[in-house]
This record gives sequence, structure tokens and C-alpha cells, in this order.
Amino acid sequence: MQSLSIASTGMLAQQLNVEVISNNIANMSTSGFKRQRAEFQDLIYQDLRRVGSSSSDAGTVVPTGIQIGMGVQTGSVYRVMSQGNFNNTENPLDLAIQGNGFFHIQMPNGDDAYTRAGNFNRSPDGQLVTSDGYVLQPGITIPEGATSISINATGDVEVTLDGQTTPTTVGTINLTIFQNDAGLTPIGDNLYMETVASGSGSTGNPGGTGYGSLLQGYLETSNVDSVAEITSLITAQRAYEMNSKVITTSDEMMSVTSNLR
Amino acid sequence: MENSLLIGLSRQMTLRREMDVIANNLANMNTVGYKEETPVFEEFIMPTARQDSADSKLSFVSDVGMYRNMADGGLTTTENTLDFALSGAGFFQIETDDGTFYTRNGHFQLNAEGQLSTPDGGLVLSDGGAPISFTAEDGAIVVASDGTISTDSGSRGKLAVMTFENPREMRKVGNNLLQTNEEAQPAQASTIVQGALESSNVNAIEQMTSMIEVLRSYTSANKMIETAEDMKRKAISAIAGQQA
Repeated sequence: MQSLSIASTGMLAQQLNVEVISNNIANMSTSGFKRQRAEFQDLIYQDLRRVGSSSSDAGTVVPTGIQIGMGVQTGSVYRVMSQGNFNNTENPLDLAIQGNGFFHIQMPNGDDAYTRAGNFNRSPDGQLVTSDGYVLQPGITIPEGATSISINATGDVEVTLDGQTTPTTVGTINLTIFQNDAGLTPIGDNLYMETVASGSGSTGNPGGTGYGSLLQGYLETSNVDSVAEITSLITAQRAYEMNSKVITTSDEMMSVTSNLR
Repeated sequence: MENSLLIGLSRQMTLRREMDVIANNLANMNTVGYKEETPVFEEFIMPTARQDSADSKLSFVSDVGMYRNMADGGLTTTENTLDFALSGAGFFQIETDDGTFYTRNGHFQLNAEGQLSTPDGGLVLSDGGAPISFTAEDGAIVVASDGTISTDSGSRGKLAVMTFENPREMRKVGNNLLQTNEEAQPAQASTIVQGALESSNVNAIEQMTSMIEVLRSYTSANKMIETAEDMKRKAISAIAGQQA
């Protein structure tokens, strides 16, 4: 009976669905996290009676043939890149991106990584780094004795040094945008890496055409909507149960047959 | 006497097929744009052995086709800019290396060249029959209900939505795609909703109840076969007992 294997593809799909949902819920409070969504597709079909095959010598054709589907498969697990909310932290080194774009981070091994999480810190030598100590690109060093740091919407970093009244510009934070954000591959620690699917990134000033702008003192929350996640969790669980019922029923039908003798 | 066995068997074969279809419907309960299917059965009249015989005609059951319920599924909002739900009749037109396909699944993404494509890499066509491209600087992509695509840097054409005389004649090829030789007509009465997907129109309760029905009918067909066999066994032993 094919219904057994068909239902098992359904159960596997729902299991993956629950895994994706649980990861979203686990990252509900991760800054800059973008929720994922599993998308399913029907599997191949077995043509038992082909549509359009002739059914008589007079040239009549079969209007709707018999096609038995073989179940379901996961089409893609994609990232929904919608904007998260802004959480006021009052920390001058917390930056939220309003709109499109990523911060460019240099990994310790020299690789380029990108992130939406703007919770930066100062390294021992004054550089802006992520909470793991990876350096923001292009490197910005806050000089010793800076009393206040101000970062405007277009990314200019200005510091006021002790005893001075006019601020000094120490650099500009750039943003990187991609043709296809959803094609970036996550590597954990809120970081993403470029792939063939994402296209190569182009770097520019925040606030430019196609680039988002920066907001100092705020962090972007995750875009996970807990109510939506819980409801899709319920749907996934019910779908899982129904597929398991299909397996039980198929099993019962087979046992009926084997009890014939 | 064998006839009752065979008639019961013909019922059981079709029930198994119906079970496969129900299993596929339930497996695709959360598949975007999936349309529920129902097998269509037909009575097959077996001619009697002799024209003038008093035998009643034998009626078998056979499956002749499938009925695809083309009703719209519900809308699920995803907030993803490149998710589109179709409401009303029509299909998106997809171009792949294997030819042109049609789909109700409006989950698209951009490929590395900035072209609107399906997760499998098929290109989504505009009403002019060309792929739709964007650049990274285009900013927000807004699609109106008639399919017109606009960005911060100008219009990018219109999504093709096609209808067919008989959408049930379309062949399913998996991956949510359909194929047909019918001529495509631009859809008149369909609207596009951006940031949403059309969920499958499988009615779970209906599927569960017909599954129970299948199981019960299967069991009763089995009873019939069993009874027929029982009668045969009794006949053999009675006749053999008399001879002895």
C-alpha cells in the first residue's frame, strides 16, 4: 500500500515544520534574528491513466486522468527578511538598521560575515567589535578619553573628546546590501555569509538609495511573531497526527486482508 | 460463485487507490497552493454469459478519473515581500529548462542575478513572457492586486496570471507545478495579494471521515469475500461427505 509511504512523507514534513517553528520560538529574543518558514511541495505523480490519452477510436480523450501523488517534500526553508521592532537600550554602541542592509564583520580567520545585530562593544584598543570580539568593517576606533559617541542615521561616527566642544569624526559605518537577502547562509552567532544565491554584496552609506538608515541606542528585535508561531505549531501537530492516522488505517486495511485466511 | 469474489476484489482495489489519494491529500495539507483531489469511480457492467440467460448483469467498480477541487485555499500572511497569493482562477507562469509550467504557489525569491524565481530556480514570467529582474538598489518591491510590480526606481512590468479552459486537464508534475498543452489566456478575474500565500484547500475533516469510510467499506468487502469462500468450503465438504 502506497498510502503508508505517502503518510510517512507527510509526517517527516511536519516534523521538519515543528523543528523550524521551535528554532523561531527559541530565538524570539535574539536581536536581529529573522524567522524562517518551511515551504512544502507535492512529490512526483504516478500516471495510472494519462490525461488526454484517447479513450476510443472516434478520437475522444480522457478529460481527467488518474494521477496518484507520492506525498510531500520540503521545497525550501526560507528566511523572512521583514523588519523587526526597535528596542530602546540607551547604549550608545547599540545600532539598529531601519530598512535594507547588513553590518560587515571580519571573522578572525579573515572571512567576511554579515549581521543585523548591532550590539557593538569596544575592544581593548578602542575598535568597534561584536560581542564575540569580531571587528566591524571598515574598522572604527574610538579614541581614549572620548566622553560621548554619536552615530547619525547615515553612519557617521562622531566623538567628543575630553576638554573639547566640537565633535571629531572618527569614521563612517557602512552597510552591505545583497541582491537576494534570503540566499545568505547563517553560520550562527547572528552572522550570515555570502553565497552564490545571495549574489555579491554592494557596500554603501546608510540612508542611500536602497540602503537602510541607522538608529543609535536601539536594537532590532527578532521578527518572530509568537502568536503566529504557536498557531502554526498547532497546525503542524494536527497535520502530524492526521498523517499518523493514515498509517494506522492503512495498517488496519492490510491486517483485514491478511486475516482472510 | 467466483464472481462475488472478483466483485469484492474490484471494490477493494478501488478502495486502496482511494486510500492513496486521501493519504496524498493529508500529506499535502500544508503545501502551498495544493488542490484536493478525489477519485471518481464508475460502475462497470459485465455482460452475462448468454444473451437469453436469466442471470442478472454483474456490476464491478472501476476508477476512471480524478476530480480536482479548484476552489481557492485560505490566505496565510507571511509578511514576505516576495510571497504572492492568487485569489480567483489563474496560475503563475514559470519558465524552466524543461519548458513552461504553471503554479498556484506564489512563494518566490530572487536568484543571484536578481531575477524573480521559484525555490527550484524556475523563472517567473511577466505578462510579456520575459523574466522579471531587480537590482539591489531598487528598494521596496510593491505588487498591486492586478500584478503590476513597482519599485523605488520605477515599474518592473506585470506578473503573468494565466487561466485555462479546463484547469482539471492540467497534469501535475510535482514541486507544485502543473503542465498543459492547452492554450493559456490572461486571467481576467483574479487578484494578487502580496505578503501572503494560498494554503492548500484540503478539508481535513472531510478527508478523515472518508478515510474511516474507506476502512469500513474495505472491511465489509472483505466480509463478502470471506462469506463467498465460506459457502464454497461448505459446498465442497457437503458434496464430498455425501459421496463418502
